[in-house]
Amino acid sequence: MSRIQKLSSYLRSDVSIAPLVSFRILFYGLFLFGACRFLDSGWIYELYLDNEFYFKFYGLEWVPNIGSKAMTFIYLIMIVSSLFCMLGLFYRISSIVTFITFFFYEFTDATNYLNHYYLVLLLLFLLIFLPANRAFSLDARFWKIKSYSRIPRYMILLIQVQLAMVYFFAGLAKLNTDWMVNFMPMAVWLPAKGDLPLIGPILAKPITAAVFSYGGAFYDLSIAFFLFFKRTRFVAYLFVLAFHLMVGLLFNIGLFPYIMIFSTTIFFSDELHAKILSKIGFNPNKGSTFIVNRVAPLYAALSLFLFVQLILPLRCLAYPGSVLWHEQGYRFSWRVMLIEKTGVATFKVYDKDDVFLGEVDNSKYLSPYKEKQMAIQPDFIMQYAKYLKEQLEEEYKIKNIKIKCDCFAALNGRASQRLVDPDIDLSKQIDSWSAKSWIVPLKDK
Amino acid sequence: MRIFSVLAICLCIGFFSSCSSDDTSVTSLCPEIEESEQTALFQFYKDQLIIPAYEQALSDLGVLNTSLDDLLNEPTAENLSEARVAFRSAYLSWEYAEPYYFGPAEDQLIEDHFNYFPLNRDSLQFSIDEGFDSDLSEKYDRGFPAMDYLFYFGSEDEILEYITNNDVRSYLSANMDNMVNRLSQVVEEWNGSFGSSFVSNTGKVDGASLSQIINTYNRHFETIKRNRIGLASGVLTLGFKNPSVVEGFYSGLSLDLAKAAVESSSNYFYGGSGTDSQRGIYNLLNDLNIQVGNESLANKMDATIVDFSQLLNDLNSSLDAAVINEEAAVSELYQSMSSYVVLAKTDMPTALCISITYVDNPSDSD
Repeated sequence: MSRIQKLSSYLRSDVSIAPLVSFRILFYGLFLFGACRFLDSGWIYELYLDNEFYFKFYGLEWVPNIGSKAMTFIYLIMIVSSLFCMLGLFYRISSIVTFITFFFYEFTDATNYLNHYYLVLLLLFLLIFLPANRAFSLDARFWKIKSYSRIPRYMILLIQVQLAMVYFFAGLAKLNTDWMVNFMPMAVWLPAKGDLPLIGPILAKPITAAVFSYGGAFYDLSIAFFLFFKRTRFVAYLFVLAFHLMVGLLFNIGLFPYIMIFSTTIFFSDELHAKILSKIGFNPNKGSTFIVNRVAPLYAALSLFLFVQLILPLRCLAYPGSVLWHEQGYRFSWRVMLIEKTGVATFKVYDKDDVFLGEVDNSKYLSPYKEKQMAIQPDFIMQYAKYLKEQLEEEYKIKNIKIKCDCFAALNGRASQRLVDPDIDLSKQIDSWSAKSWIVPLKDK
Repeated sequence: MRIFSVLAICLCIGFFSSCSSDDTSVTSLCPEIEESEQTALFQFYKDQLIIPAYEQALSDLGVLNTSLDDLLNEPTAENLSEARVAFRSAYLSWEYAEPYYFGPAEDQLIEDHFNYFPLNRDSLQFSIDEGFDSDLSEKYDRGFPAMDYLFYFGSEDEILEYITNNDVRSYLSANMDNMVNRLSQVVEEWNGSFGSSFVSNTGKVDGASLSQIINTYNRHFETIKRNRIGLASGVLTLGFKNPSVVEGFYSGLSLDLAKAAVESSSNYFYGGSGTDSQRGIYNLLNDLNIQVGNESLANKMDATIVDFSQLLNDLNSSLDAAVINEEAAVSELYQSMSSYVVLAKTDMPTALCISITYVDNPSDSD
């Protein structure tokens, strides 16, 4: 057999459906909890205000500006559909609905971008296509749909590979001088937790930042491999628990630790999953084996998906300078907790002859949180500038004004520096894949 | 074995291509500040700056209270004159107590109840008609701005006549009582348990005393820049001036109040005003040798403070007149203050590794 054939038959070899079932239960269960937590926190009312400016992702400008009432409604639907998914009820529809509702939540306003939301979205997407309800589900019990006891290995591998890519790229992203040489931003964040009992004083020491930085990079780069191989799996999972719980304790990152802790259980063997699930009533032998008939379209889809997942994190290579600074290609590339960045953005308004008219009072258009996010991300600065031009021209009944920005940002302990060219009319700039020439490069001194 | 060589290659590619910068210079690596140095700093702030400012403000408020009672009991031109003098003193003293908006002051929502300007006259009229309600804290209708209006809105006769209305009298009394109660509470807590915990609350966590100082300092400075200068000057409204939104518009005290606010802000930064024993953030930055681009950050900040203080002192009329008649000078003042914000709000907190927390953070971070 050729290598390709060997790989193909490996991918199609069957494993118990148990890992997929437990993933469905754990992941959707956690998701459900997270959605309820978010709804309960009242953050919807702080983040989705109807008369505020919404920042958009490039290419996703068509997503509507969803206000708090509509977002609450979306959340309620999301909660119900994710509950159904967890139980395996009306799974096909529920998984699609969960994905769509979360898509709208995630992409309505780009200032709410978080890497772990992106991971959740990807996993929700993959789960639509996986037969997770074909065993141990209400669909299987009530509607007598065809049960499967065994599924092709590629289905489990797909999730494992997705998680492995997250870890690996996150680790790769840490291989920069700020993280590895200056131990930034750990050197800022850890001392800020100096009041924790017992470990506080240790966190305040400079050496701890070094340990965290090197340890974090090594963990991210290697953990997926250690989880994959059976010999190292158990110890690796202990490290997963220790690492994520500690990070969750120290930083304000919500459910991210639990997403990883729950998701990485997919690396355990199918026999182990079957054994554990049997204890709660799962029958590992009920059902037939899922056979893939047409491999070509399947492999094409998998390859495309993997290709996109590999390309996205690397797209920052196309832009000169430090991605931590210019942030072109920063999002959707698993750059997790790499920057401590603050900034001040003052927008100046000029008429068509470059006569200075005035400055913008940002508090009129943005919440303090959005202003803070905008001031450090150049593409947001540009979006906001375009919005300001529209607003001001309408409010003051003038035409052809120019919007320029005096913007200074401080990155990872550096002195504040100019982020964008103060002489450029930002409202006329176009968002595209090409490099933004009006971003001032990060300076050495 | 092959898989490891593949891995090694990936890592090498990763290292060289991970879109990093080669920048290695940083201004500081979050200097450790001795605990004893911190407590000494906080003790100094508490004893030499904060408590004296609050106590003076309370005392002057008491004087105002008395003269207000006299005025309400006997609405004569003389009593009005005395009340106005007491009002001026109390308002100016208040400026020196305003920056410390954390702890007791924040608990008492002191800003909302003392100095939320500009006044909303409709809101004031409504509150006068309906009666003073201390729990409603969002209205621009109370505190000093209310008295600013009621003591100065028209001719002496008009004022004296207006305050004979029972509604107005009870409003003024209730407003005054509210202010005295809240400020007394603040003074009591500073002299008591909060004061001691402030001194011992070392560290860089959000909520520790150093963080409170840096944050409230910035917050207060921005109210000067935006609320006292910016909004009226028209710089935030595309050149359309709004003279009537200045602090102390009716009494004409806007320039004096702004100068007091700037001086109080500077006191906050230096830890006093030019005495040998001053021991503030300025000294701390220098002791820690905090540099920004090879220059002492403290000195850069000092130079800018001197600059805008001078520009402010050069103005000749009350701010509502100055924004019209001394447009260029006000504009220069505003620009100078804007340049200061970058130093105070970005560089200083970065150098000390304090995060600016008065910008809230709904939801988790990444």
